[in-house]
This record gives sequence, C-alpha cells and structure tokens, in this order.
Amino acid sequence: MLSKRLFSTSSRQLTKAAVSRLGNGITVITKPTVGTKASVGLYLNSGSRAENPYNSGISALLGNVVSSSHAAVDALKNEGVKYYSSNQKEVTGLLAASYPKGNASGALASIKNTISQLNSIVSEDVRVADQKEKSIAITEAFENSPKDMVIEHMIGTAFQGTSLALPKYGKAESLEILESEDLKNYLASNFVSSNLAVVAVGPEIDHDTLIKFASELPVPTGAKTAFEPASFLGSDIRLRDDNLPQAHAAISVLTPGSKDSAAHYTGLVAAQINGSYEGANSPYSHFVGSTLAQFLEENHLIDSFDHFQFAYSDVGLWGGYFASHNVGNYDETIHFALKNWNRFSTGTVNDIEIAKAKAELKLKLLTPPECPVQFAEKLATEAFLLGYVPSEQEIAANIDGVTSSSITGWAQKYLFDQDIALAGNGQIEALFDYNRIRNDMSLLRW
Amino acid sequence: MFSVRSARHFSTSALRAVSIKSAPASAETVSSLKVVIKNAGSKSSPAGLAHLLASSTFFDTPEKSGLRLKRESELLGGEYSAEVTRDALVLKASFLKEGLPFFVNALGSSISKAAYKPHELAEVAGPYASHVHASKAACPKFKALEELHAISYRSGLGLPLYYDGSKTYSSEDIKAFAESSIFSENIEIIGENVEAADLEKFVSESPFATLPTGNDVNALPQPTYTGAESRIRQAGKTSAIIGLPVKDANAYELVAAGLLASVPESITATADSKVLSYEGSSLFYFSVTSSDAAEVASIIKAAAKDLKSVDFSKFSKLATLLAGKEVASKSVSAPSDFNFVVVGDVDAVPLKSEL
Repeated sequence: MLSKRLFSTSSRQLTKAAVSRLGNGITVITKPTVGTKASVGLYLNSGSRAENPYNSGISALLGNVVSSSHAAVDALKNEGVKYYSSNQKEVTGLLAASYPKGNASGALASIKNTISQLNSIVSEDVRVADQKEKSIAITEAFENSPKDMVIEHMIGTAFQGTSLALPKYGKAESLEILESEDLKNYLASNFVSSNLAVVAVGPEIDHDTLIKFASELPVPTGAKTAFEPASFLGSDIRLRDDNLPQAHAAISVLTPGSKDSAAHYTGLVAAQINGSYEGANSPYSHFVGSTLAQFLEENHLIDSFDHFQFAYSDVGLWGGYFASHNVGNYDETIHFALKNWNRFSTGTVNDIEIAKAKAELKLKLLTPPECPVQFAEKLATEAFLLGYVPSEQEIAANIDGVTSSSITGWAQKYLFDQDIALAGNGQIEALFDYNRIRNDMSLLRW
Repeated sequence: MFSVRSARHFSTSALRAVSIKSAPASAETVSSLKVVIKNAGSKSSPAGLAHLLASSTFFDTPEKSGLRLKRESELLGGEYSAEVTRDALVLKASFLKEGLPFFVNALGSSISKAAYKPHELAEVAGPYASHVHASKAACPKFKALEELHAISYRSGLGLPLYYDGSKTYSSEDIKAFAESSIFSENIEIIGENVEAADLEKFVSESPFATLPTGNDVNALPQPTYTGAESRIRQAGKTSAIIGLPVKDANAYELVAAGLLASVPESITATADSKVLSYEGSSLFYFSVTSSDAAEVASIIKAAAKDLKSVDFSKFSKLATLLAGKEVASKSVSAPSDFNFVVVGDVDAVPLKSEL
C-alpha cells in the first residue's frame, strides 16, 4: 500500500541552494523558494565563541544595536523591511532583513545603507546604553526559561574555561561594562570579509545579483582569528530552586563536531530513538513509540523530555533534558533514562526503533523552516560549520547510512562509561551527586 | 442502518463536493496536507464543543486505534495535529513524500469514521482541551482578544475559541456536532509538494469520498457591535486592546501598520495589531501588553488618538510586510466608534470615554 510505485515521481526539481566564495572571502548563498516572504541577511562566523569573559554578550548586543538603529527604523517604516538579529555559539546574525515579495531592491538598498553607517551606529552612546539594558533583559528572560537555562549551563560546565562555555546571549555582569569602543573593536576583528556570509532566501534575488551586491559592500578584507579550541570536562553545575514547580536536568557526553558526518548523523539518529516527549502538551503523548517515554510515563516519572545532538565545528554534545514534577523520585527519572541509554552500547535497540528514528529524523531535518529568516540562518550555519550546504539528498543519504551496528559502535566509543556534563535547576534535591549518576553510564553486567 | 444517510455514504458524486488544491512545493522530501472543515469551528458550535471535537480527532476508528495510527505515522516519518479556529476545524499532517496515500486515508478516516469513545473524552481529549484553555487564558493578551470577540460579535464569532469548562458535554454531543458539520461540501483539502493527480486519485479512494453530502456552508450574516467596553481584573501583566469589526480589511491593514510604527521601543511592552479575517466579518485590533500598567495606559492612549488623526495611506509598504499580502495605499476614514478591553490592573488604564 505504501509502495513508492503507486504514484508518479515529480519531474520538477526545486532549485538547490547556490553557494559561491568571492575573491575577498565573502560567502554568498542564495536559495530560491516560493511564498510571499523573503529574507536577505549578513551573517558572521563569530557568535558567543568569538567572545571572551570580559565582553561576553557583545555579539548579541551588536545585533540589537544594529536592528534598533535609525537606519533600521527608516527601513521598517518607509520600505517595509524589518531587521532581525540573532546569536548562536558560532554564528551571529548581524542583520537579517525580512521583506515581502516584490521589494527585493528596497531590502538590498536598506542593508547597504545600514552597513555603510555601521561605525556611526555603534558610536551612539545613548542607543548602546538602551540596548545594553534590553540585552540584559533578554539574558534574564533566557535564564528564567528552565529548559534553555539548564542546557546553556550544561554546555557551560562541559567546556568550562574555554570560549565555547560562554552563554550565547552573554551575562548581565559583562554586558553592563560594554561601551561603544568595545563594539568598534569587536567589529574591527569580526566584521571582515572572510568571516562574512551574505544569504538570500526567497523568490526574487538571483545568485548573480547577490554576488554583485556582496562585492559592493564596504567590508574590510581580512581573516578573523580562529576559535580557541574547546576542551570537555566531566562536571556538574546545579541551581536548586524550590520555588519552581519541577526538577530540570540536562546531561550530555562529548561527541565529534559536525564535520565528522558519520558520527554526527549516527548521534542524531541515536538522539531520535528516544526522541522527545511532550506530556500534557500533546493529546497523543500516551501513544508515542519511544520505550523511554512509555516507561517514564507509566511510572509517573516525567512531564517532558528531549534528546539532542548539538554540533559545533570541532566538538559536539549528545544527551537529553528531563523535566518532572515528581521531584521526590527524580533520581529514578535520571537512573532509568541513563539505563535506557546503555541499550545503545549493548546493541539491544531493535530495528523498528531505528527505522522509526531515521524516518522521524528525515522529517525533522528536511522540513524547511517556515520563516525565511530562520532558513537563511540555517544555510549560513551549515556553510560556516561544514564549509558547504548539504542538499536534501545528501542529508537523506547520510541518515540512510546509519545502521544498527554503527549505532552500537558509536555508543561504545562516545557514550558507554564516558564522563558527563550535567546541569540541574528547580527542585533537584533528588538529583544524585555526580559520581552516582556517572556510574549509570556503564553496566556491570552486559 | 438503511437510512437515507447511509445510502448517501456510498454516493459516487460525493467526491466532487470536496475541494482539492495543491500549493507549490517548498521542499523535495517533505509533503504536507491541510484539511479545512468549514462550519466545524467555534463560531458554529455551542461554546467550546468545537474545541473538544478538535481535541478528539485522530483517536480510535473501527479499523484502526489511535495508538496504531500514531505508531504507523512514526514509522513512516509523519506528524499530524488538529486545531480549532473560529471558522473551521483544521487537520494538518506533514510527512515524507511516500506517505501521501497513508495520510490521505488517515485524515479521511479521522473525520468520517471516528468512534468518539466516552473514555477518550474523559481521559485524554477533555483534560487536553482544558490544559490548552488554561495555558492560553493565563496570557492577558489572549484573554483580552477573546473578550474583544465576545463584545464585538456576542454570538457566532463572539463565542469562545476554546473549551473553558463552563458547560459539560458528553462524547455523544461531540459525535452529534461532527455529524451535523462534516459534509463533503464543507471540506477543502490543500496539499503541498504533492502531485495534484495523485492527490485527487488518493482522495477519491479514501474515506473522504464516502462522506455524506448535505448541508453546505451556511453563511449567516454576522451581527456586529461597537461602543462596548470590558475590564477584567487579573494578576500578572496588563493588556489593553482597541478593536472593531471592519468592512474594508485592506484599509485597516494600513491602520495596523501605522499604529505599530509609532509605538515607542520598549523593553517591557509588546504591541500587536492585525486584521483578523473571518468568513462574514473582519476584526481589526491594536493591543499592548506590559508588566508596567502605566506604560500600557500611555501607549493605548496614544494609539486611540492616532486612530482618529493619522493619515494611514503612507504605510502601504509596511502593511504589505506585516499582512503578508499586497496592501495598496488608500485613504482611511477614522472609525466613529470602537470596542475596548482591559485585562490585568484595570485601574491604571483609562476608561474608554477618557481615550
């Protein structure tokens, strides 16, 4: 019934993302899409990893200053072009413009106008002071979201002492002391041609137009300094807060980065085997196939969980996040989750679980982001981290290449009896100490 | 069993009534289906019943249990969901391309053959619907917008979107409402990244083809009201909203853009303005929400003033961006009256007569 032969294959091929590198090092990416909204933006291969403990948060602040500038307000009111900014560990969305179909020229002109004023924009002390306050409010909101908070702190403790540990939106303490001069210094070392990608997503801007646009941007030629290497340390960090209704913890192990595509995709499939569990937020939670979800739900040990394979250019983290209001038995939540992870190493994950995980992962990775700005950020991130933008076929082939034995091999190397990075928040009196949880990463009996 | 109704179940002409559209592809591997069932939205049901119907979708049918549907979908790489709007019940599925026949069948069965068992309502659909309502109602902006609908329309579009627990329904009520609203004339199927011919073929072979024909969308004119005010005390953030039912939706897209353009940048306040287009009426609103009630007061005061005095014709580019559709420039005459809702610290926000 589900045979592929039942229906004709489409002869129409969607246009793939086109990627070029200009002589001065700027990466230019265009992805034609259908729809009424489009985006064009400038992305830096910087992110919080390009910061240091004294200017932590400066990438996010810079984006906020640019997207609230006079030039940005003019672009919005007069041209109907809205600026967004974003920040991740290794990628900064300096200026991502969203515009309606039909206004590509307005968007490109607005960006050019804004970039040409970049130095004067960051020199406005009053605006910088306002945006510092706003950036601090964003970090506080982020810290008040328990899931984001424990995951960020898990990454922080895993790579402690290196710049990868710095939070992606910075810290109030370091944001407070930043000044225009710091922004200028940051721009001088990061807003350089080989560190920049110009990305357009939408129906209008073709590749040649964008290349011409990128080559005319006033960007200093140069190479930026490489990220400092990250080193993993098995460790934990906890903020017990009995005012929160739940216990939250995130646990992970060290894996290779996204360039090791075999390990990366095996990790992604392994994360999808237990997948995520939404609890009360979905009416179909009782039906999900994940064995871990079934076990934890049956025993009232979970409200929601999620598994992840984070990947940066050189390292990654594989693990899970668990939230439960059954705080007295939270030790069991973590114990049984980790015992479930042991199955990956013993090769007792069955073929149906793997087939399900692969199909779900394809759906997850190949569903295009709804908003063109997010799509552009995804393309920039792939180009910076991998050096190329993988096609849908390549991603599907990588997922298809994962087998039961490759999962076992991967797990025995990166998961079994490995040190963990752990962060906890909320009512975590029942979250055991590091060594007891670490002991659950192995089995005495195979 | 041998009623007229069951004879119609097998009518071959039924399919022609279901409208099928294909949207252009945005991906190569992933397809999606959307089934819009008009007249099964919250405006057409007793308060909250449509939400319970949406929450009861994708459970047991005589052929397949909800559990089996979920497990098979996981294995095929597919996800599905059902949501209620004021106009319609909307089912959505996104899946790997090969899953098209499976999901056409799944969506068709879920609306034409659902068993609506009492335990599903008591154990899953009911608690889930209440959970959705509780989490939405905690947001003052949502509560203010619901109240704006209530005072602008009173009945129909003015009914609550979600099940608020003020009435009690049985699974029989859900079943009766489904039977009274799910007819093939009311159904629109939109496929994205699917071959149109394949979609039509699969639909004609699916339970969609056996849906009863019968009533079509009854487009009752929606009575509208302006000049009303409602103030609800609630802990948490304060939200104020100005709104009115409008005839010329495009003109008010310009107003929405113009009002948003003059809201001062703020760390605490968020402003929103839209024209919600329903069948039978459009509702324009401008809302502002903040933890600082005095800030809400000053922004809503300024917006009420702008509404009467600003020339909105110059905001067509911004309106095109915000509305997601082409909005041509035109002159907008100021509305004679509007509706006003405040939720939160109501004492800090001026009365409608003071705006």
